Amino acid sequence: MSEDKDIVLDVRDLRIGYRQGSKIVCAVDGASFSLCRGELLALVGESGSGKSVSALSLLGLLPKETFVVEGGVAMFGGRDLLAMDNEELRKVRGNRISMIFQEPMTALNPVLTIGWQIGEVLRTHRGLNGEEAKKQVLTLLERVGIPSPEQRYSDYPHQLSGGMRQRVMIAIALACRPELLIADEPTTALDVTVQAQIMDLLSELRREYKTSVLFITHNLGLVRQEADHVAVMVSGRIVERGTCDQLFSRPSHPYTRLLLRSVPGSGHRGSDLASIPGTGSLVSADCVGCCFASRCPDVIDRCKVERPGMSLIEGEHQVSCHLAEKNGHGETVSSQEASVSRERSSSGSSILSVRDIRVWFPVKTGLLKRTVGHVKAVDGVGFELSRGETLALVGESGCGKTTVGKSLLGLVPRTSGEFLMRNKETDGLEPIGIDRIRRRVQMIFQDPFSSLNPRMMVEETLSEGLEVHKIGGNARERKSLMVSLIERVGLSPEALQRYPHQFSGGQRQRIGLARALAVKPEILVCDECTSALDVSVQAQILNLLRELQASLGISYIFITHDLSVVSYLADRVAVMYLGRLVETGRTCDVLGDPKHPYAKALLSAVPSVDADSDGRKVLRLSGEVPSALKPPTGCHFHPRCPLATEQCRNEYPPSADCGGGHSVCCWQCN
Amino acid sequence: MVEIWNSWWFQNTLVGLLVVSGIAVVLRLRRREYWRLAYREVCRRRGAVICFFVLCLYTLVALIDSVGWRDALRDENGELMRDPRTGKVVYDRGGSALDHLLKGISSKKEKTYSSPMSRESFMLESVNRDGKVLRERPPLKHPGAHLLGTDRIGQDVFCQALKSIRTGMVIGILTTLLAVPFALLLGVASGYYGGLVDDILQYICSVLSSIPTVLFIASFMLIFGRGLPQLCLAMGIASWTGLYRLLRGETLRLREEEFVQAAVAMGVPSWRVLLRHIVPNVMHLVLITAVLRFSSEVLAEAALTYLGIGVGSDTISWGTMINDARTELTRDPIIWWKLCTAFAFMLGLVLPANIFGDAVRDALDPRLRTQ
Repeated sequence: MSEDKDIVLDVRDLRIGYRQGSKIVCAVDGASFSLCRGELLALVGESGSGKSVSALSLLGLLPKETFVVEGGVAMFGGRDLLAMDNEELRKVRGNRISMIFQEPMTALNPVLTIGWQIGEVLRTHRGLNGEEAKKQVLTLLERVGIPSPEQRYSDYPHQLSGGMRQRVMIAIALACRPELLIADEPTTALDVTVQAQIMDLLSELRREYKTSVLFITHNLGLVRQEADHVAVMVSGRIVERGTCDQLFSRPSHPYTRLLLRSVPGSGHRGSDLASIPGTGSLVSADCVGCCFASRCPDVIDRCKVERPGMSLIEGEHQVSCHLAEKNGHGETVSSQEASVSRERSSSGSSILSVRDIRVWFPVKTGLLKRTVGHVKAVDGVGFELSRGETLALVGESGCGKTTVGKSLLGLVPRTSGEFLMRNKETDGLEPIGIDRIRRRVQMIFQDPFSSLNPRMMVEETLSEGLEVHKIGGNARERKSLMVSLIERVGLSPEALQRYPHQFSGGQRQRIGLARALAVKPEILVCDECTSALDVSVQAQILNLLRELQASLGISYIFITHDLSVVSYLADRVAVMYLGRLVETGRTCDVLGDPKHPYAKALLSAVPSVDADSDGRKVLRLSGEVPSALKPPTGCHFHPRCPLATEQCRNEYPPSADCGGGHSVCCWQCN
Repeated sequence: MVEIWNSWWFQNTLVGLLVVSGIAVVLRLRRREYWRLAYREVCRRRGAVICFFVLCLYTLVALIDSVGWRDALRDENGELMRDPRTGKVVYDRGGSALDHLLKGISSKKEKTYSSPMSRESFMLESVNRDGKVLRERPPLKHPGAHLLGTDRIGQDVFCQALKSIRTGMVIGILTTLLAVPFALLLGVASGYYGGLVDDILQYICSVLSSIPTVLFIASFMLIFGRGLPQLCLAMGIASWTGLYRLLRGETLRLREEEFVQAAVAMGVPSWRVLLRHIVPNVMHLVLITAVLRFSSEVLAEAALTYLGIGVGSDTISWGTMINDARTELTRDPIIWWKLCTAFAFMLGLVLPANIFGDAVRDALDPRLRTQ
């Protein structure tokens, strides 16, 4: 780092141990990084790589029973944070260093007003009393973009939306104008359009207050967009660091390269994503070699016996890799991902036709439970699905995309509309009973940790579907079916005799996939099935899904909010807003040239790792998704739409065809 | 009904069944890895293991006390007495195996109170010695034989306390066994099906839990008579609502879990979803509640008997012992050993049960386990 800059935080050789039973393993192993004034440093890594642990240790927030700080210094304002006692740390916390947490729903105390909670920081650290504090709080609320702060001052957290709460969290964090802000995945729990708003606010305030930000994330798109410097962590060690441009243009560590190539996107369409084998498990303290050696595709003998030091590439760009030392920067083979061209088995005839589905949940109040209104979760959605095709349902949380998938399987009762499936004998579309549909359509769920019964062995989980649908005559036949299923999803047959808690997230998702495949479905509904996984594991699952589609000819209904996955995998896209489809069409049409203002905004809100996207026009949405209980009159989108006219306020637009199966519901596009 | 309950053969069969089913459950659970892990976890805590052994000791005493035992009657010459008409051996009224074992102590009766391990009576008596009337403590018939003293009518307190173990255990176990399946079935059904079923069950539950428990048990005993089975039934009916609410809430949560949704989406019939996905995942709650409930029932029996609505005075229990002690405590000098014995024996059962219950809860909690 250049010395002339004003260094706020300088962490050297931070070592943190994690107690596992009686032995101690390394959670963080010699991490060093420094932050200049007003700079944003992104710590990137998979879950368990030690990025959050490093940050929490700076404020002494690690639970003492499980973590031990074993060494290192963290100089902040001339003092070592790690050597401070609790009393001193308390004066620093929230005052000179503050923190924003991932979950805005739980980070605020639900029984105190937000005004009181922001004021608390000022009272504690600035010694302000009632009136002064209130005045400051109101300025802060206004500064973080909360409308009518006077009224909001006495609101409770539950009265605010997720985005608003995160703004309040930022107000609390910045109340004392700290020199350092630690943001631990601050936007992961938010929708993309809200995420964009929050990130804009953060960078604006950062510039204004000259606050340094330590930004912990796994979202590489956000890093590309926001960070000045990046540090990549693997298994508790920093393997590469440099400026954002250096790192993204010339990634030098094998891990960084693989990570960047495992991000799905339109550029990878039709080819396998790079995947990183293994998981970022903690390394034992006596590990002598490179921590990535066991997972590295380019591993050489030296990696296993000698720990690589940090070698300079250019400027501030440093990498910890033997290969990079040898040949300038790690120009290595690792182009082993074969470009398998995708065999499209999609045939023209549709196997599923969804006609005008409505799912309304009645709102009941009073003693007699009278229905006073309906939450129109899904309000007239219709689409067709061909054999071997992937349809992506895209939208923000609460738009009803998951409800569509669940109503298809009868997990939520539908109010009206029908599902037609192709009858193999008559070759026509026919309405189908719920028992038959559950054999032909199956679902994969979002959360790999709750989608498997913790009390059942994998074998029992898989055999359940076989037994119910009477597939495989006897126990022996079923057993061999299960073995082939589990091998099909890339696990060994021994996995059958194990319990879910013995598997990692990615492996559990594979088991969930095997369970769904057991009944040989024609359609798989994938409900955010990769959003809870690390990028590299997500790549493995997406590769598997693609391969299964090619070999089995399954159709996917892919429910997601992640547009990079959509552009990688989907053939057609349907964008949903407040229970209705606003735009449908082929992926290239919708993502390449979105017509509906909402689709445009959604696309521009997604941060991308591709450098060329920097220059694109940014369309920011204000506000958040309105309640489905009282949707706005006319076009649902008009309160947030920059193009809204009188007609939009009064009438819902009909679907208009733009050619090539691309249709839009918008008055302004007709 | 009560006749059958009290009959010798019925009790022995019941005890046999209980032991066999207990062993069967343990054998079945040993095959599941989940329970094996929990077992290992419990074994790691020394306190819990000690408590487990104490509980086993109590259970053993209660079991021995539940096995019927009849002695053949003998005449003065030691010959077996036979029925003059049928020629069959005649037995006495019968008691338990424990009665048989304790015969040595329980038959040593005194006249009245004597303090623990004492060699003389507790009561002063007027004795005419050499023409002078002296107030002194006469020597006991069986000096030093009574470990914990004797009561007003000279019965051994230690024997009574041992006999009370069975009463306490029966009340604890039977009440729990009555309440738990009820609560499990209704709670799970109520939470899973929702709608009308839920409304009706909730209504019944609210009504039942708004009746004061003591009042309910008192009126139940008034109608059906006082006795151990009646008390168990009354307490069972009065106590299932708590667990029912707990299980209903847990089922409501589980119903939305993705693995349950996955099973429904697979087309698994609802009874099977309940049996294979919901019930196993609430079993840890059931087990913990059962263990903790057990100890509170034991204490409740004592309180109810003290109030005069528990088991009848002909049944030996810690409650009746405490009830007797009520008058003894007002005497001077105070007679403390009966109350203290009852208290110590109850504590010896309830405290280990609670500690063991806590250990089991920790061992079964999946959140603590994943580490």
